Amino acid sequence: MKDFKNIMIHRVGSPKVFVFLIIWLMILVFFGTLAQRDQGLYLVQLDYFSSWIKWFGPIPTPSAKLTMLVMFINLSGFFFRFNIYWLKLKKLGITITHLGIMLMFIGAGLTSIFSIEGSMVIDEGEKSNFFENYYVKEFVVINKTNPDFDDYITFDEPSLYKNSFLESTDLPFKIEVLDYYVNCNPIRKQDNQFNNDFYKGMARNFYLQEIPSEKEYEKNRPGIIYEIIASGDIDIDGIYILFMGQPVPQVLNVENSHFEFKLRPYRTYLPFEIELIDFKKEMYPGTDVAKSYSSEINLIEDGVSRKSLIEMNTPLRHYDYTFYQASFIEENEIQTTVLATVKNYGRIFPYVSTVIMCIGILFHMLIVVSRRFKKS
Amino acid sequence: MGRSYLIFSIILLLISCDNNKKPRQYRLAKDPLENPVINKLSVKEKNNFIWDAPLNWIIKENNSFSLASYEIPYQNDSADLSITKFSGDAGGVLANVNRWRRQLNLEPQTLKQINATSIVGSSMIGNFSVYKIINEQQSQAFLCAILPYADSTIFIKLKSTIITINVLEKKFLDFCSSFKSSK
Repeated sequence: MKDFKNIMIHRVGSPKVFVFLIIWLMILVFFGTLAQRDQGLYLVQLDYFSSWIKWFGPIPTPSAKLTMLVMFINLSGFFFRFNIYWLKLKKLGITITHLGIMLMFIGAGLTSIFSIEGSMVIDEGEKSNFFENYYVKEFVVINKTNPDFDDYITFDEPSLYKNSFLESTDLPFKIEVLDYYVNCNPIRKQDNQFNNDFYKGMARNFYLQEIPSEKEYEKNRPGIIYEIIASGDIDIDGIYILFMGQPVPQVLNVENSHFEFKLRPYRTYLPFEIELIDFKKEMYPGTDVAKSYSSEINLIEDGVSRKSLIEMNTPLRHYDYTFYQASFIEENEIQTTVLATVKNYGRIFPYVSTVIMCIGILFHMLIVVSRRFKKS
Repeated sequence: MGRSYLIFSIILLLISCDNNKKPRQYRLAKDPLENPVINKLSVKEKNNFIWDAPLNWIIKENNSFSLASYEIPYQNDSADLSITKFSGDAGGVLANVNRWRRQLNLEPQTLKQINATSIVGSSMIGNFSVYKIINEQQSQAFLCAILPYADSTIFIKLKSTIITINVLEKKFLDFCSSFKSSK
């Protein structure tokens, strides 16, 4: 126990370790910023910051996530010093500052694990109760048999990889993922494949060709090749394809049940609805460049609606959700608003931790200055 | 202190190792919100579809019913292809196939008989069924495709002699699968 405490104080919690870690973090930020130019924002974020290991060629190095976790453990070593040490008045400023920084790391951890962001697209006069992730996708099987409701079974993108099985007790068949492409093109088959009964639906006449990921990751068109197994019907068992934006979803009728398959952006449903009453935009005179735009909305919850205005620098906050006016679409005389939506449990942490850090540093400065005065 | 710190670290690692393999399940009421994008598309793109026709197909003047007509030359013979679109299912498979059969002086068939000989294909705007109707005595044949699209049905019909129809069958299937949204 004493050894563990010593290790935490003198080795793991050493300030030297923190200095090295912060330098390494700066290096990662520098190279990550440069890499964005070629790889795009999302892939760099995954590679340099969200993964545990960053590979520079064959060399494994800690990514920003791992570095910050070690920094957190390093800072917590401060609190392993004997109890009274960090409560002494002359050390109180440092203690508060440590607490502030650790709180910021906790907030970053919560944001990294639990935050969800995406966009909500609503036509004027229409309502929506979900937003869709910019980057992450999901494979959805919808049981549409019941006339009153639909049952959704969604498989998240991490489970969509070659030779993985997608199963649920509510599905009368198994799905084997034969391949999953981050970006692909549907290509019409040149040879006559109509006689090959094993290809069903869109796969009869089309195949998916994998293409390199776009620099702007959200422009990718993911696609999946999957096989339906053990449905008990040879007309249904077979190979299917599905790609995002497919005009006609794949449908199957199995044992009097009606199923629909979709590959779509990861969708988060809200416990309330937003109705777009009016979208307004102001242009710079003589140009097509928007100066400002705003959405007048109705927030409908439990049958009660209240009006609200979302402007470029005035987001709407409700529960843990924040809605920012991000963009708009004008097509066929229909105006559509695009609201960037974020659900972030760690939203408040940066504000609180920054105030705590300021108080800690101020306190420490006052103590140091008063000691200098006393000496002089 | 040491033990609790160890437990905290293990919990943190376990949270980080969640691989999201379990499916999420939820139930939603049938509602227009359920799929606004698809609904919007089906309304907006009601007539917005195109197709790829081979260069040697000759465009004919449209009659008021068809979207397009082609004359397809083959050796000394030729085939006529027409594309029409009607709202709803326009009577469905049974009524339409038997109508084409009657045009070739053939007896009507049951839906089971018709489906047994049909071929299913797919295009970017949906799956289609192809029906080959032959009157060997008259040496005439039809190759007809039914392609449901949004709230309407597209009919593609090729008529010629049996020999020409057999030769053009692959091209016809390719043509049907070339239908796509114009956007």
